Amino acid sequence: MRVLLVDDEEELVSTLSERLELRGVANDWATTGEQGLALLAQREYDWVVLDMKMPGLGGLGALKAMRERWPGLRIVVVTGHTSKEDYDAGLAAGADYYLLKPVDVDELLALMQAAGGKARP
Amino acid sequence: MTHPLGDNQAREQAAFFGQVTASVTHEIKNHLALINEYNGLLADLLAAHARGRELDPARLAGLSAEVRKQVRQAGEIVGQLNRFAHSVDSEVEEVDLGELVATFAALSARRAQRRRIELKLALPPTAPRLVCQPFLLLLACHCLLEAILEACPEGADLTIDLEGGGERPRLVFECGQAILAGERRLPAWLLTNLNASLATDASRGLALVLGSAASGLEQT
Repeated sequence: MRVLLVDDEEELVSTLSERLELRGVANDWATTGEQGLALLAQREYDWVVLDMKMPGLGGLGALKAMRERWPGLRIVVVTGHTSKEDYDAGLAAGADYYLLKPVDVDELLALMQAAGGKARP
Repeated sequence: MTHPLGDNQAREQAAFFGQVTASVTHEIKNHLALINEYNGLLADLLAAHARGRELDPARLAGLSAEVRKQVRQAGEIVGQLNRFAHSVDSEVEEVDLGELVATFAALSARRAQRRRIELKLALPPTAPRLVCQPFLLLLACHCLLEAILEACPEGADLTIDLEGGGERPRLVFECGQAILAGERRLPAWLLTNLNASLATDASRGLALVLGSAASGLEQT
């Protein structure tokens, strides 16, 4: 399993990356939606964990582009406590799951393990 | 019951207060979230050590330094939020414009960063002092910033300059292009209360020409 983390808060995303690595989960991270799309074009990922609030292309723009080009990719969108609009928009744009920010590494792993090898619905 | 300032003015001020506190508390939450993550990573590293993985002292020292940095940054923004909260304490007072602009920049940095704009300050070593309503001056700065964020492309350069001194110091929001900030952005009641006027400069951005509230009261 390989995971791509996309979040403009570099300190947060790099720490999550290290914590996943310590749990044996291979991953890469990007700080913009554009960088995330470039990484997806370079190698195969099973999961993307995508922050919805980012400058530039933004989480929603990246999500739409990912869904269009990689329809089988499983995508977890990450939103703040008060961002119901982001949550609704993310699910409407094809996100599979959502988590509240900051992402709890064990909650994320439990979600991925529960989904297991199941194909994207 | 009607608010003594009038419904619109009271609403605009309350909205500004709400926007600033929402943004800053979000920022504080981010610092706390990072501290929590660093703590989690420390626990993970210790657990890995218990399973036989070597502990890297430099990595631990780095994490400790990161926690210190987050605590310092959170403390600074809490201090600025406290200053902001106290800006409504007195209706009119003499303020150090440099300190007030620095407070505004600290409170607004995150808002600008969301558009990849870094707020830079160009303050003189000794900033002018002005008798004014500090909360209203912060609100005026906020209105100018909103006008600029709306008009400028992402990643634009933005510097807040403090020019001149004496009776009419100028606060210049310099973004390298002309910005139109009409009544919608900077309400007339705000300029009147600040005894200020708005100046646009085709090559620079927006400027607020400030006057003493005391002289403003005399004029009106």
